[in-house]
Amino acid sequence: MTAAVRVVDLSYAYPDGHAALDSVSLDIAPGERVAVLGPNGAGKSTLMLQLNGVLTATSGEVHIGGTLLQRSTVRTIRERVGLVFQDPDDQLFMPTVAQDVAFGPANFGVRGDELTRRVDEALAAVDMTDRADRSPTQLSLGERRRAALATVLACRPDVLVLDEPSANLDPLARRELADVLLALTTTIVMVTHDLGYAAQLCVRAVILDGGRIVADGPIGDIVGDAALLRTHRLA
Amino acid sequence: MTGTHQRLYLPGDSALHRAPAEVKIVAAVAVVFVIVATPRELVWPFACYGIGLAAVWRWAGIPLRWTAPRMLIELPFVVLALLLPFGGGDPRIDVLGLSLSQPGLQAAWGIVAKGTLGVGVSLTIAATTDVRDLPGALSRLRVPAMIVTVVTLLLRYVDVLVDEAARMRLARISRGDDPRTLRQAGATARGVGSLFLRSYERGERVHVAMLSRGFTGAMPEFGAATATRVQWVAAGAVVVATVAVCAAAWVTR
Amino acid sequence: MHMSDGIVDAPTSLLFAVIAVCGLAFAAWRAHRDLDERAAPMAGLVAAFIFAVQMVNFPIMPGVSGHLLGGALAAILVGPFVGILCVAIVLVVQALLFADGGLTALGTNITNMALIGVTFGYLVARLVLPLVGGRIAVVGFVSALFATIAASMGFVVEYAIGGAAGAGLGTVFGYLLLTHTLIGIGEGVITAITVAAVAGARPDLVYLLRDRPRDTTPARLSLNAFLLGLAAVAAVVAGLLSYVASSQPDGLDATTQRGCQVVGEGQLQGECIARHAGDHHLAWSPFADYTIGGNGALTGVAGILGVGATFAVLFALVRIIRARPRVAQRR
Repeated sequence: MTAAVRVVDLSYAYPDGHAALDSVSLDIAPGERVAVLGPNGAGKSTLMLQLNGVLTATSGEVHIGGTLLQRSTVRTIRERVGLVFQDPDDQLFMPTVAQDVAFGPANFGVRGDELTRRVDEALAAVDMTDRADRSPTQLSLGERRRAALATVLACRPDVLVLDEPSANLDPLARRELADVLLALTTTIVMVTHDLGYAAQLCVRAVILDGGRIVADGPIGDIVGDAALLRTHRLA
Repeated sequence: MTGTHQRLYLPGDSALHRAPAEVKIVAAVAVVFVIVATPRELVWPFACYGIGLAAVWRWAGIPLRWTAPRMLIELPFVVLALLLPFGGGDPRIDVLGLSLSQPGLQAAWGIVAKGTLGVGVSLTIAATTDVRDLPGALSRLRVPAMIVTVVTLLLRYVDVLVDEAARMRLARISRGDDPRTLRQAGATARGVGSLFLRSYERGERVHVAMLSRGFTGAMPEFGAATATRVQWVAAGAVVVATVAVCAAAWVTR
Repeated sequence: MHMSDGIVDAPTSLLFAVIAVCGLAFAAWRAHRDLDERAAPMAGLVAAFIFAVQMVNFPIMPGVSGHLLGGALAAILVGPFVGILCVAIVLVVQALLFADGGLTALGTNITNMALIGVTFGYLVARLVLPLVGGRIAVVGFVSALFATIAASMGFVVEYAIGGAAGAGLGTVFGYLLLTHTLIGIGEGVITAITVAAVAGARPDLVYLLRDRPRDTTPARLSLNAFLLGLAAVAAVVAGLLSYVASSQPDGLDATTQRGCQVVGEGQLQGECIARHAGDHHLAWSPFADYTIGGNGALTGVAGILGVGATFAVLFALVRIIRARPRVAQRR
């Protein structure tokens, strides 16, 4: 079975020399839900941006569904890996939610009826169908998070990568988002500090600290190991 | 200087509100050009234009007490217009004991009449057009995609930035600053600098988000044109009526 | 200030609309060439910033307040091309959705505030930066002041061409110069502090301070090419416009000739100021009265030469300044 995500010896250093990732290797099976935990500055966001080619590794490889990420395949990979960033306002830049949701698939060549279908599907998946023609400024934070998720779901990605999806959400919004994510069958990689949320939604956890993977196992084991969490500033 | 908090959109249900923005923009620009081309030596054509504009306002449900204060945007140029009769050239005539320049008076009248009517037309568009409709209208008017993208992002993020600026100001006030006094101009400007940094960084993040969803520089289409034949014909009729008044003015002046 | 409709006539409005579109197209092309697909999101956010910043008002006279235009600020922070793009688009949105600035005056407003303002702001900033030892606050003040005044002079030129046959040109000139010097000072102060703040926190984000890691020859070429292009455009426009300009005496002449009749080839009969005016000491020069050898039809050529001479001087200045040894200017 081809791994949904395979990262092999990935290293990345910023232009000023600071090493953000150091020989990271990771295999994620299709449909698996993995939490990526780690303190601030561990390299979690950098890892995210490696998965869809926004940042290019200094050494090592990234394979998505068997396809090696390189210049010629970047476009295909971007269709298969959907990134949902922490601030939904960075991803909702069109006048209405519906136009934002259509932006992704339209860029990948989807047109006409098929485009309308994708938009409707994505909005329904996040329960925002009735707010399709609203402007993002008229939505609450939770609604904007779900709208941002919809903009990515419309591209029908194989892998969904989320950065701090539960941050600043009130309990109702957290629950609504959790319901949406649990109903999906895509592979999910969730970068988060929120151990409770990770435990609720993921089966496996990986700890990233100082640019290296320092732990990898079932979420119960990781979250239950108090000493491990303290060492890596997660508790 | 208006800001987003003084958005000029006046929600309503008239045919003017429902008309697509591109039709209104094209008609408005044409009408104002015709008004500007009208000879300033006459008064009656401008009265006709004024009556026409008032009729449009009535029909679109735009009350005079809404437009009147917003016309004050024109003030600096009314001041200029008031100065012209004193400084203009020959010949001079006597009005109420003052020696005023006749070309200056005509220039002043031209500025006041055309400027006021121009602001009136602009207000009509602003009042009946939702901000969200502008990018689509521009792209249907064949404005280059890059410009439309910049307009889209400008409209989307100016509120976000204004909110950030308001929050920064609140934080400063909570620490005892008073932003209204001149001494605090420095702090205001530093706030402006900080706002620039946030805008720039957000621009980079928006760029990454766009890239991640497949953006390569071309904005996808905004949706097909919805303007009907009837709407374009109606807009054309308004322009033709204005041209007729202008032509009559030129012929009879 | 945003010009309203009716200050200049329809043909002039159209002419400057064409100029504005050309300038904007050029700026967009260059911005895209420098930044690829990054240009649009960057320009979008900076335009939003400029729009937000234009809400900063400051009083300049009782009843009249100026507001920050941001042309020089944009030029220093993001460079001339993105700067022109942003200011122009802000003006378009203001005209269409906020009734600020006449619809027919969009061409003149964009020409004055985006094209002239940003370009002047940038050129002055480039010239002044090495002269003040890299003190960016001083650069900000000077470039904003000059950019504001330059933009208002664009207004004066437009009025001279198409505003009520030049009646009251002197009045217009005086009013604009006074108000825009005051506005320019306010704008200068805010620009100075803002660019100093940005340069202090993230100098790598300030376009004007961008290091040129490769040798300076390409940089010198691009600045000179930019100036050449500007000079060429200005020369063509000046040449065309001199032909279009009426040969009626302007406001100043009209005032000084009051009481006299013009008889024959510029002779005056009667009693007026102009008869007593001494000959200008350059009256013998070919440039007197902006004609060559007294031939009115060559007004255009004289205009071109005048503009060309100005830019030749500007060129020479730039080359001299850039040729100075670059001592310890790296950050």
